[in-house]
Amino acid sequence: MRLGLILGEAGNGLRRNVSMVISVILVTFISLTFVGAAILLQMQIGQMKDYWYDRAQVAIYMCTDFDTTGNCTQTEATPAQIEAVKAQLESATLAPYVEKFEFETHEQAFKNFQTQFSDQPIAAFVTPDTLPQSFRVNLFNPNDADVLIESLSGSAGVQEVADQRAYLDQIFAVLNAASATAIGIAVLMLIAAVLLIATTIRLSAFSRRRELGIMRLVGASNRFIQTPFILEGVFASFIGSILAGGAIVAIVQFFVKGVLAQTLQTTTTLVGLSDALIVVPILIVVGALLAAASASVAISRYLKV
Amino acid sequence: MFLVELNAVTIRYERAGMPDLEIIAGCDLALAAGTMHCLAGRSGSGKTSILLVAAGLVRPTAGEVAWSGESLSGLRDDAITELRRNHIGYLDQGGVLVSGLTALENVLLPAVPGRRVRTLERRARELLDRLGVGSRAAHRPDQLSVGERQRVAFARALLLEPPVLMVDEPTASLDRETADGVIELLAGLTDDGIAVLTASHDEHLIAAAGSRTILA
Repeated sequence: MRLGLILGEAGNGLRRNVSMVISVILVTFISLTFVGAAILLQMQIGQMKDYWYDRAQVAIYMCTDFDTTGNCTQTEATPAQIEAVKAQLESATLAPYVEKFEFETHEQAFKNFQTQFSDQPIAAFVTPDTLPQSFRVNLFNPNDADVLIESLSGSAGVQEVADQRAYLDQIFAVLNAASATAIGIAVLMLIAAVLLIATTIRLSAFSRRRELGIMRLVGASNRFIQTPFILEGVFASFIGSILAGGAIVAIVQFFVKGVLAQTLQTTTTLVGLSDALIVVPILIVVGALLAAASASVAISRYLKV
Repeated sequence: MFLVELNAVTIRYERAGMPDLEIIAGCDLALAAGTMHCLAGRSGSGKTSILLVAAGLVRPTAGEVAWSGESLSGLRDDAITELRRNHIGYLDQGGVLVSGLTALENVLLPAVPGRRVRTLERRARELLDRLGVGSRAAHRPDQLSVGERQRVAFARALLLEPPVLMVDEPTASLDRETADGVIELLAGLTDDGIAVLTASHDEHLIAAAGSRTILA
């Protein structure tokens, strides 16, 4: 009778407050979907950092006839200057940092440019001699880029030493901002969910206050009386978190793996279903804990006779 | 040793924006087995508040409540609840029953927290028989008369064989004949050795009690 009574009471409460319970489910669903999206976005940023930082190179751009920046004086870098940079890369000072490097000529740079911007009008105006020759350097540790920048920026014939990670950091900053926005919305929605759960439980307790009084009089412990109400809140929020989990899986399956992977023509750096399945249990636990805490606070005032 | 003792109990309620409301100050009360004590006074004089404090359901503002010599001061709510389950049967005003349950299930409610429903079902039926509502065991509260509901509530309060019964205004909503029946029932319980603490403004009940506290 004990378990049956508790479950029966929880069921009665849910039936009596159908519209409130539905709103709890929806608010929990939306808030936890935002929480899940924020977690996925953080996972995505982490994966992209791992992937791209490993591939990020330091580019040493040599002067062209058109450059006036850096050490350039509108004169093409001479073969001797190029050799000097190469010698520095192979020197005892820099060699320990450099994993490998290759030299990109005007023609190779032009070819890459044409491939990269084939759809755009600018491709028609660029000629090989306007694109600088460059050394593409891969470092053992991408964090050592500053060493190269400091050593080579002042060398004759060098226009610029660029750490490609600086470009990536801008992308990550945008993604981090998106993630922070999702977390912000999630926090607001979670506050709404907690307040709504508390209100629902209060209404439920108010409608049963006579029965609650009787249970206290006949010697039921506070925990015994609280449990059906907490279960009521946890149940509503559990359904909300299951829906949020479903939404997260659907987002990964149809948006990330479908639309994004097709558009970006790559799947190696995108979050997958395995990541989504890590997020789902987190959402369920967060939902249940919030509901239980909010319901137990809400019911406590009805435990006085 | 007294089953229930109130030593210098003061009950005062805080009210927002108003002066505190003092129900009673320095109240002493001692209840022995087989006796009936009546808290007498008009409505609103604080009878129910004293009953609730004596039953450990509300803590006094000052003073001490003790059951069979054990002080409730300093005990946690769960511990008091556990003690009360076996020490005190409480019958609230009007004998409120849980509407969705039958008379028998209502009587068995005190057995639920201790998981003793099966073992106490026979006693519950016997109590209903003894109180004259045995034939109503399967009926729900809305199918019972006021007097029958009260008897079911009596059976509920007596289920766990508590040595003390606290009864709040047991005759308030009953006709004279039924009310006198209830007074007789309470007197019978004291003959069985149960200590009865009741709150009432019914002169018949006040007269039937062995001792009384008159509240202004």
